Parts: sequence; C-alpha cells; structure tokens
Amino acid sequence: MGKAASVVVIGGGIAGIQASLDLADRGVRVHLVEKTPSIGGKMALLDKTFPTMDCAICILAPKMIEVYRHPNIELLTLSEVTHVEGGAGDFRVTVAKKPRYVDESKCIGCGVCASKCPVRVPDEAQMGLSTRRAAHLPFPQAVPLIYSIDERSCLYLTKGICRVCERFCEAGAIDFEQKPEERVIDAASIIVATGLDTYDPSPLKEYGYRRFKNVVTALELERMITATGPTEGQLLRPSDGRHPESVAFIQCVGSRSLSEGYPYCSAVCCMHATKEAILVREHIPEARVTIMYTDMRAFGKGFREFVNRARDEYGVEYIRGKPAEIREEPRDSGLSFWYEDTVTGEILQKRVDLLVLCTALTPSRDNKRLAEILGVELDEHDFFVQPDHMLSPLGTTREGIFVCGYSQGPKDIPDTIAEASGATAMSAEVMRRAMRG
Amino acid sequence: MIKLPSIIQRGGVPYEQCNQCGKCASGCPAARYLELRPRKVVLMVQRGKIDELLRSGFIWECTQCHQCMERCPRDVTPFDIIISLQNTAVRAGLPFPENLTTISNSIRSRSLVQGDQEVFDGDFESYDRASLGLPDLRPPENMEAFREALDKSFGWDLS
Amino acid sequence: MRYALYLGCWIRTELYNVEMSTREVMARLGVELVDVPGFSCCGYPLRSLNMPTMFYLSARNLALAERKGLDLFALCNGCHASISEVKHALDRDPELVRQVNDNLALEGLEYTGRSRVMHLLEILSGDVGVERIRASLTRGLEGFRFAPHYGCHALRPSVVGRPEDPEDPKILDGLIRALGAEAAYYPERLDCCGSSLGIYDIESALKMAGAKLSSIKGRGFDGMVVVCPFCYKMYDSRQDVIKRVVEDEGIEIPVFYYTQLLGLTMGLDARRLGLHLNQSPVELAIQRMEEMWRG
Repeated sequence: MGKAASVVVIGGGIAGIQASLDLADRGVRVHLVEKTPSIGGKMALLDKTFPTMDCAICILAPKMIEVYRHPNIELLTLSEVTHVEGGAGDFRVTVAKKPRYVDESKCIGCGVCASKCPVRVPDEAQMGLSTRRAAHLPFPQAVPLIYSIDERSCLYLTKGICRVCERFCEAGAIDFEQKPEERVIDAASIIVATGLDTYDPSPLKEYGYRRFKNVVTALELERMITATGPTEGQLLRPSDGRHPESVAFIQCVGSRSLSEGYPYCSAVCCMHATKEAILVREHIPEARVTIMYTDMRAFGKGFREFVNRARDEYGVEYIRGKPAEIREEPRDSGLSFWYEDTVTGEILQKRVDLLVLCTALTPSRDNKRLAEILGVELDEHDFFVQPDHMLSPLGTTREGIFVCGYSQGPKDIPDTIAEASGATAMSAEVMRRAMRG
Repeated sequence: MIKLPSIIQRGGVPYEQCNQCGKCASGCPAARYLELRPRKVVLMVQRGKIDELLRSGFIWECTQCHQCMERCPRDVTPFDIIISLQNTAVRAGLPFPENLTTISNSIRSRSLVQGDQEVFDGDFESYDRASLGLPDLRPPENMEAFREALDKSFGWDLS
Repeated sequence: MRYALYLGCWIRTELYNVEMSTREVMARLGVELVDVPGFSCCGYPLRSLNMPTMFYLSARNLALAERKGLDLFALCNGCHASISEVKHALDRDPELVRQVNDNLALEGLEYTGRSRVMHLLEILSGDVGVERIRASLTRGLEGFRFAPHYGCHALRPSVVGRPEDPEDPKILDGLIRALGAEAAYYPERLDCCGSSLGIYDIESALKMAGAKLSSIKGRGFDGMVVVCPFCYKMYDSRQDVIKRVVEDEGIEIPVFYYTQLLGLTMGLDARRLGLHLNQSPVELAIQRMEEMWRG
C-alpha cells in the first residue's frame, strides 16, 4: 500500500497496544516501537484493575499476543525513535534497535540462560523488591517471549568474562555478536503512547520512605500482593516477613502539591488505593485497612459504587485527613502517626504494621528527549501539549503526530483505551488525505 | 479577598491555596491538647471570619513549632497566618495573654525578658552570675534610645 | 574562630550552667567567644505581640555584632531561629532593611547583613569538627545511650536554613557519638517541648513535655541531650512539676545541655560545668560515669 498506509506507534503499553490493534485491523501497517524488551507497560505490573477487579495481565496478555501475531504489526522492541523528518502524511522515522544478544528466531524461551547467569540486579518489574539476572525475561507473560541480555550488567558485555548462558543454551540462541541496528520507516503519521512513571517519594522525608522498612509505595504493594510478585502473592511485611494486621494508605503523596512533587491530581490514586485496600482485605481477612485521603475522587463510571463496596462490604475505613509525620517504633518496625480527622476535628493517633504511599504518577521520564526528536511541545510537567485542548484533545503541536493515554494527561485504563482508538481515527484521517495525493 | 498582613510575605499570606488536607493539624502539637486546628484557622480566613478568629482563644494556643509551615504541600504557611491574626488582635485592642505584656514590659525596662535570677543547687545554696564567675554583661548603651526604637516598631505597618 | 557570644535572655539571666559549660568547652576547642555590650532580647517572645518588634530586636543584635566585625553565635535555638528568619527576610527585601535601619539609627546602629548567624551544632560539627572534638576528650561515654532532643527551632523552618534536617536530623547524633556514647532514634524525637505554649497555657505545655518524657522513659536511655534553653528549662527545671501534672512519678530523666556532656568527657569538673545547678537527676548518670572512669 505504500508509505502512506503506515503508522509508527511509540510506546508498547496498553495505549500503544490498543492503537496498534485498531489500526492493524483496518489494514494499516503498524510499526510499534517499544524501548524495553517486552510490550505491556505498567498495566502488566498490576495485580488487578479497578473498578472491575479483573486480573490485569489476564486481560492484557491476549492483546499482547494479538499484537505479536498480527500480520500488519511489526513489533520493534528494545527500540527507540531517534530522528524524525518530513510532515503529516510523509514522515521518515529513524528507529534505533538495541541488540538483544539473543537470536529471536532461535530462542524457545526455556529460561536456562537466566538460571545459569551469575549476575543479580534489582528487578525493575518487581519495583526493585527482588532481583533478576542479566539474561532475563522482564515478566513471565512477556511478549515477545524471548530472553534478552541486559548490556549494563552482563559480565561479558561489561568485562569480557563469563558467557555461561551461551554454553548452556541448547537452541544456540545466544549471540554476543549482535550489533545495534538502525532503520528508517516511512509513515503517514505517528502516535505517541509513552505512558507513565512513578514519583519517588524519598524527598518527602516525613513519610519515611526508604528510611523505615515497612513504608512502601502503591506499585510496590501491587507487586507484593500479586501472584507473580517477589513473595508469590503473600503480602508480607518487609521487616519481619509476617502478614500485616493493619495497613494504612496515604493519598496525594507528591500530588496536588505546590511545594515538593507535582501540582496536578494523578486521577487514579483514590481508585487504585480502594482496589488495593480490597486486595489486602481479601488476602488477609483479619487486617484492618484505612485510607487517609484528602478528597475522594470517584468520578468515573462505577467508581463511587466501587468505593462504597470497599467501605461497606470489605470494611475499609476512609478517613479524611493527612498525616504530617510517620514515626517508626524501633521495637517492632511498626509505624504510627497523629492525624486530624478533618470531618470531626478530632486529633487521633494510628498505629499500623504496613504503610502504603500513593504517590504521584508522572509522564514518562523520556518524554523530554522524545519531544525534541519529534519536534513537539511539552508542558512544564512533561505532558504532551494540545494546541486545542477542547476540540482536539489528542493532537500535539505538530500535525500528523497524535498522543493518547497517560502521556496526554492523567487517566485510567478505560479512558486510555478510548483515546487510543481516537488517535487511531485521527491517524486514519491523515492517511486518507495522504493517499488521495 | 482579605489580605493578611505579614512583613515577611509582603503580598499577604497566601491562604487561598489551602485545600483543607489537614496535614498541618495532623502535626500540630497544640492541637493534641487544645482547640487549635491550623487547618480550621485557614478555612475561617478563606470564609472571611476574621473577627471571630481575632476574638478566639485558640489563635493563642500556637507553640510556634513551625511544623505546619514546614510540611504544608500548598505553601500556605498556617503559622504566618496565625501570627498575623495575633498581631492584628493586639493592634485592635482585643484580649491577649497577659504574659506577653509582662515580657514586653521587662524588655522595655531592662532589654531582657527577666532580670538576673538567683539560682539554687540541690543543697539550697544560692548562686548568681558573679558567684559563678560569669562576666558582667552590659545592657544597651542608651536605654532611652532603645525604648524609643522599641516603641517605634509598634507603629510599623504590619505588612 | 572568633564569634560574638549571643546569650539571649534565659541563659544570661537564669540558665547559668549553659553559659558556664559553653565558655569552658569552647575555650578548649580554640573557639574565642567575645562578649559584645548592649545585646538585648532577640524578640522571639514578642512575635505574637508585634512581628516588627521581633524584627527590630533581632536586627539590632546583628548590627551590634557587625559593628565588632564578628559573626553572631546564638547559643539558644529560639534566638538562632528568630535572628536567622529576620536575616533571611532582610537579605531579600531592601525596603524592609531601610525601615529597620530607620529604627536602628535611633541607637546609632546599622544593619548591612555582613554578620552570619551561627548555631552551636554548626560550630561544633563544622568549624571545629568531630575529629577535633574527639582529640580533645580525656575520657569517653562508651556504653551510655542518650536521646537527642533537637528542639523545633534547630529543625525548622528549613526555608531560612537550619542546622539540622527537619525530618531526619543527624548532627546532634553525630556529636553525641563523638563522645563515645550511642545516640538512638526514637519515634518522638522531633516532638516539641511545648515551651512557647507556656505563655498561654502552662498546664498544656507541661503535659506536652511530659508526654515526651514518658515515652522516653521506657526506652533505655541514660539521659536526654538538648541544645536549647527553652527545651532545657522545660525538661530539666520543670521535670518535677511535669511528673505531677502527667501523674508519672517514674520519670527520672537526666537532662544535659550538650556542652555539659562534652565538658565532662574533656575531663572538666562537674561544678565548673554547672551540673550542680541542673534540676533533673543528672547525679545518677554522673555517678555511673565516674564509676566507669575510675574502674
């Protein structure tokens, strides 16, 4: 069909996956560029989704596989866009592909290389709560289900020694001779779907993150509670490995802040905290769970009902108040804080076994670099700017380049998917015009 | 919008930014024992209930620990608001803690909050600066000028 | 190292042991303390009455130090905080400086901002340094465990620059360790002594101080170390009253000003450090120290 019937999608999370499938199903050739070894994004790391309590990876994986098998989608993992020329309808996109050091045509995903690899580094997919090897699969449902060797930690690639993986790989798939590749792709339009990163709350020292063992972030909690997590689905206190009998969540950590952190609301934390609170109660029925909130933002379809369910069926306690200082009891690593219940004005103290910080969710840290390459504007928080936010919420400051998902602004999964389909439609219009000549 | 004067925050203390999260009251040590809730003070200012605040007892309950202004995520500085209200109440001739007058008088008369005290050890032996070998420290050279300057400071614009 | 020693009000008129111990240890650490005549109250207690008065009083003390070409060493947390706040505001507001200087002119003084405001913690950990402190010791406090009480004004408001990190202070801990003792984290360590509340409601202030003492009680500390006369007065001078108010006769916590503890490890006699004037049960702790040092 020619270059006009091609689209480059940047980012392999749910937004990029949905956009790619929508386009590919309509006969458009899609090049999905993902910088990590697997697609899936942050959604693949969640245990469940709100408000439906679906298993996140269970509903995501079929889409991931569809992407992989779709005849119209070229999946470029370990890849990044490095240069863009041209304009709407006629872009030339340069994509740099990093070597996987594993031959994609030979690897059968058996995992022997990883089991033999002597290197251990913090596992990003487990939020650093456990380790992985240099030769690794990002997570069990990775797509492509092909191992890759992390060039920053591999002993051979950094120091010229080892190569144990090669010795044990029966498929002969290890290939240290692989080199970075570069391709120039002709595309009618580009869809940006770079997703989100999490805010590290260490600067907010009053909350004790990284100072007190039993203070964790919400995404860390998801990994601690999910079946494929570092504790295989057992929610255990980091300090003593026991089940927490009491858990508190603190909302708006680094969000809605005019001092440290970000001024905007991350949109989904009230809901994901509710979801996580339900999960804790499901895992540990005796646990007392409290959510310390500032405003309960349950604005979407089924949201308020979900919160009510958490409160009435699962006994989750909701308190409108924000702790100022978290204290650790040296004797049992328990955490305590004073708080004002702002509804009643009472000052009370609470003690919990585990404290969860619901931190701000930010646009991808790579957006700055990408925006410069794409020649588009970002706002002061690194969200992609819409010249007409009202009537063209998926546009960017360059014609032919569209954005969807969290990189456009804070939102949940259903809205992300809706936007992905929207970006598809706008993309299609660019193509239609280009093909007309 | 009412301006709350402060000579540190010349444009007035920024109370509009408060979203009532309550972090200030959560950390306030006075709140644990008394009525003061910095969050509520800010809310009342936002609603324009200045007179009620100036006449309240609780604006005097502040321990001046600065926790509220250190931790406020909206840069509201409840402490500056409370001080601004306190100063305004004094200027308006409304009741305030007597001890402040005692201290103020002492500073006016001898430049310090109190005169040299006699202290005692466990055996009820008494000591003073001289008997402990401490140097004799002199007050301001010109006490009249000092007092004049002190009095003049009460006439400054609060903002 | 030469500073104008600024004592504020309470150390100068009542808490003589703080002054004694500070003069003794600083002399041995090579720090010269100069007495500047004319120092007055820093104005901290008058903030509630009239903020400009606090500004005037803090600025005049800085102006006096400036006139002698010296930085001002404020031995009290409260003084250090108020003078630092005033300096911070003045150094950013020329209009305010003009207004202040109008007042100062009545006394023939002028503020230009040349003098810095120094804290005991800064001088000891920075200018003197832990190594030099260690070298000056003749005996150590190994086996002793102290609760550092920083005091609100050593911690906050961080925007004007304080000697300690407001949420995770470490400097006083390091200085206690320099003496060979252990300085441990305890959950109430950032809590306020309640002193300023005493102006309005002394009973609540005492309860506040008592809550902290009660909590420390069961944690195996040999004493509490303070660096502020307000905090010192609450926990030491008023410990007996506090015990009655919070109905906890079990509170027996020796309270030392850091310079007193430092002086003891330098080999100085307890009386020279004014320890006979401490009203908290310091004799118990000192007896144990002396036993350890004899044996």
